[in-house]
Amino acid sequence: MDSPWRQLLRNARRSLLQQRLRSALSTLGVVFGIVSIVTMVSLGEGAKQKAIAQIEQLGVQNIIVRSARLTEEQTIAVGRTSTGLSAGDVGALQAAVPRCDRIVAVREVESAVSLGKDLHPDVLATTADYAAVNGLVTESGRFLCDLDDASRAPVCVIGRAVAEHLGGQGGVGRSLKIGNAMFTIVGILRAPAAAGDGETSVTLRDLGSVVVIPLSTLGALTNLQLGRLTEIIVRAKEMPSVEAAAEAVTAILSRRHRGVADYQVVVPIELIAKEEQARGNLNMLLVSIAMVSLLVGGIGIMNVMLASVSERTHEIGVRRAIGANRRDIALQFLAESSLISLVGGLVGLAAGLLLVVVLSMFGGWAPVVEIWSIALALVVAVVVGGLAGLYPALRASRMDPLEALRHT
Amino acid sequence: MIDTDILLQAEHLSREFSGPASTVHALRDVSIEIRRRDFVAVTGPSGAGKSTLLHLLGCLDRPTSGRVRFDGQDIALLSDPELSRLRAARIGFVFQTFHLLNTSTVLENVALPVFYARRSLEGAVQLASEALRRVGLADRADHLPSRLSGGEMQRAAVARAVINDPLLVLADEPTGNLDTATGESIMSLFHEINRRGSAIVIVTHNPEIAAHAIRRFDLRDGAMRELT
Repeated sequence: MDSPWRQLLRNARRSLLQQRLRSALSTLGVVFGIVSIVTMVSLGEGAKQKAIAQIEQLGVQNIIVRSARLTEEQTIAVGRTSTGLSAGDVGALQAAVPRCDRIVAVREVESAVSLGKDLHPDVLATTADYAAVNGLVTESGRFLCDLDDASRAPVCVIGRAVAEHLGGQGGVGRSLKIGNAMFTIVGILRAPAAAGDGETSVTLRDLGSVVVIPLSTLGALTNLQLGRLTEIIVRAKEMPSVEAAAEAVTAILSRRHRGVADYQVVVPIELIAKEEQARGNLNMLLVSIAMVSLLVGGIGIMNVMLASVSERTHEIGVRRAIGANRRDIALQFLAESSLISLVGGLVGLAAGLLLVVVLSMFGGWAPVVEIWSIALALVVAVVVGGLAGLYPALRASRMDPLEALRHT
Repeated sequence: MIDTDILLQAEHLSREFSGPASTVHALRDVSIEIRRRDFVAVTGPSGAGKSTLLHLLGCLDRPTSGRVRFDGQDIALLSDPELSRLRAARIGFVFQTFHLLNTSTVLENVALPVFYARRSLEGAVQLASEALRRVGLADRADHLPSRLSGGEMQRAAVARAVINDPLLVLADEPTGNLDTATGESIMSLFHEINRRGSAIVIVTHNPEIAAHAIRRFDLRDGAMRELT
């Protein structure tokens, strides 16, 4: 007819159904435990992938040096004003950083272009390599080239959002007024892969809303010396040399600036490591929450099973008299507690997945559900049920058959 | 020498129950031999130790002293799984209060010893249906025991006891909760079981029931003698 295991499960199901309410209530702890496991894993994975995508957008081979304004207190403390990042720094880095592929200087020009209330694009003055280190691709036209820089050409490349805003005026070959000068649009950037707009440890420039012009042109037009740079990006030749290059950058700048911290060195691959570490701490917290729920759930199931064992003492006696051995009795109750917990696990899984979908809708990230997290949730549920049923099952199996039989 | 015609041999059985205040001697030095296809009745007043004797003979309990040999095997040497298997496959119990599982159907109740004896339910439904047919309960197979009359419940219990064609069927006051006519019909079932090859031991305080047996014993204050 069927195997002992199926017989076991069928009996377990029937006896659980006889106490529907009690069985349902006893699974609540497991349900909550599994919900927290599923949401925790998905939230963790979703946030992690988003953070890593954002960090990767900075370029994993890059070392980014940003200028930072000193606070008044700091200025007083060091006793002189900060000089900021300069072309001299770029030269020094170029000369001394090992395994350095490219160095790109960036200067941000504030409020040089205004396109109405909502759009204030960043104007970035930089060199042709900026596209390479940031992985930028043009949608139409071209990016800046070395010749633009050498000839101080009045040309610009605009981001997607800027082009959309300009509409017909935003095509390649049209002119754009930056500051007091007219620039020819030579290219439009492709919209960057959306990494979302949530907060991470790194603030990203919105590359949809930029206007990029040659660094030398900026100097010529404004008749200014190339003073402070906003950013210097050093790109290492390959991943393994990023760390050494980062150390060299830090050492060189520290010497040139005589210890004045008017700049900040950001190493994206280090950020990934930090991000993972932070994620690990958060996960520890969530794991503890899940553990507590599951512990409470397990105790609930154990309680219900103990009640069930004592209510069914007579049944145990009858089964023993007609030939059930201790193991049969133990398995009967273990099957029940595992089944009750598995059902709790399935309910928790469904609720957890629903929660993940809802949360991801509000959080603006793609729901990430790992197959292993589903498997983990169900295995955990069955294990909790099994452990919770262990003591009641042992108690049932150790009853004296005759005493159990006399019990009414 | 082991006489192969002897199914069960109990020698000098004593069973004491120690309570908090005193020790009760339920059985004192009881010996009995049951042959294959035997039909034995043990009578005696309540409290004489009849049920205790039956539990010892049915390998449900172990004696304080003395020895039980079942089918040539000393049951003191058997482990819990071996003893359980023996109960499932070779022994059938019928109780005064039926002891059916009231959450399972009649058919499932009857089929249960098949599962415990063979670790499989292969053919259990056919066997159980056949056993129910023999006791005249074929049309009650899917009922819950609570919907049966006392006589029907005892018939179901008899079907459960004999489903594995046991060597020994033990009955503890099987008619105690039934009216006389129903009791007689249950007794005729025992005769049929006996004809099919099982030895039967019935304990009862009712001399009319005991009169069905071939051999009769009287148990008083824990001591037994054969009535001839």
